[in-house]
Amino acid sequence: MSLAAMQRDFAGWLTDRPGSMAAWVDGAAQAGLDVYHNAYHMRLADCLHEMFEKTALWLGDEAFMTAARAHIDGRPPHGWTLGVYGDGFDRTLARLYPDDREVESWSKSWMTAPTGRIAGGADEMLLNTIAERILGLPQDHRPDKGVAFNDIPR
Amino acid sequence: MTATPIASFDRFGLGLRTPHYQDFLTSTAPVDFVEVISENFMIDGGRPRHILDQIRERHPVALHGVSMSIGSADGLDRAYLARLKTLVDHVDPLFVSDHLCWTRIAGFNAHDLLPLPYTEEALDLVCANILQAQDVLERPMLIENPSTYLQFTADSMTEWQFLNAMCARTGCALLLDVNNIYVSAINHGFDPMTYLDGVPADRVRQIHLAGHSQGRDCLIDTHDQPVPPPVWALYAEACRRVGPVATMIERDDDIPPLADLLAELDMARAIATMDRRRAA
Repeated sequence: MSLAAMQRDFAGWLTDRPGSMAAWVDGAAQAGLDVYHNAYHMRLADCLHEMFEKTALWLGDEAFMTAARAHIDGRPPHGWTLGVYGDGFDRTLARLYPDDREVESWSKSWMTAPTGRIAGGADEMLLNTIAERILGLPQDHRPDKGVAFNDIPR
Repeated sequence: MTATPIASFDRFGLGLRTPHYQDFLTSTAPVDFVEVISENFMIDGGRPRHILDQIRERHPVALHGVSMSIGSADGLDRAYLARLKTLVDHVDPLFVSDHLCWTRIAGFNAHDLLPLPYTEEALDLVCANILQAQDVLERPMLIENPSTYLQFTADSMTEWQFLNAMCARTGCALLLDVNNIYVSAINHGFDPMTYLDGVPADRVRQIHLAGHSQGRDCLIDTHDQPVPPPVWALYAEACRRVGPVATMIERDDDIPPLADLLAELDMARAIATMDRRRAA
């Protein structure tokens, strides 16, 4: 067996390219192949869902998953980190929903809204957005969170 | 071959997961070590590293990787290895581990632990990759047995025969995932006790425990529930064979409060201690 050829065929199986996994496994392996195929798609879809939570709320889960599936089919991941996997998803959505400005604005606003609102200190906002939304880190200490501006002690 | 043997660390730990960051940072959790996913911290500085530094001040840390792709036919990713080395030098971890699997080929990354055929060709390749990684990291690795959902028609040896040869040829040690043994045993119809009897017990430095789910046709390694009774039973058998080694519980989905996992860890302590008393 050529390990490299098998791995290329396996990658083909995961990404729905016609391949020849049948050369490497017998019929008993079909259930297992389906498990890997499903896990690959679900992991990437979950990743997009976490990154574009508001877009998913706007579209509904079923439509969001269809869009995610289209994105995954068009853009198989290359790097070892999924931190940037959502890049370009707004363009996938714009292509799927050319007439729905809301979808486009939700998907774009995910990263840019906090920076757009307050231009000054936008770098820091973005770092916090990445830290909290992508890396899932705890929030910064925010004694003024949920407190009206004129109630903030000086 | 890397000469330095990995010191035994006969204690009990948990994985560091996002919902528990605050618990680990605001108090000293009653764990003997903490395992983190290496890739989450393979970045230059920033808050993740700051959090890891704070954890490291309180606990020994094991680095557990998911993306080295030790079984890639086109070799290891050097940039990945360099980043991991930087992290290893910074953390001075108890262990550096990854899985017996492949995740990447020809620029495609599946982000899943994909199965390897157990053939001489795969063994040669995996050993060459492990030796290269150990060379860069300047320390022996722990390699974990995977859960698998299919077998290859070209297989010429069992997984435990493969692990034996791999350890002998590279000097690496084993991270024995007892749940993975159970899941693969059910999926492929072998006796998990035969597997336990077949692995080189003196090479095991760490044990993973976890839960799984029943899929449509297979058991799936989901890490989304408590360790189930058959896995505890297999853990007791594993303790009898490998003696005192580090044990940790993996939970990656439906993550409960830390207290629940600490209670599960007490169960592991009880089982291992029972065995250690019997051995004494």
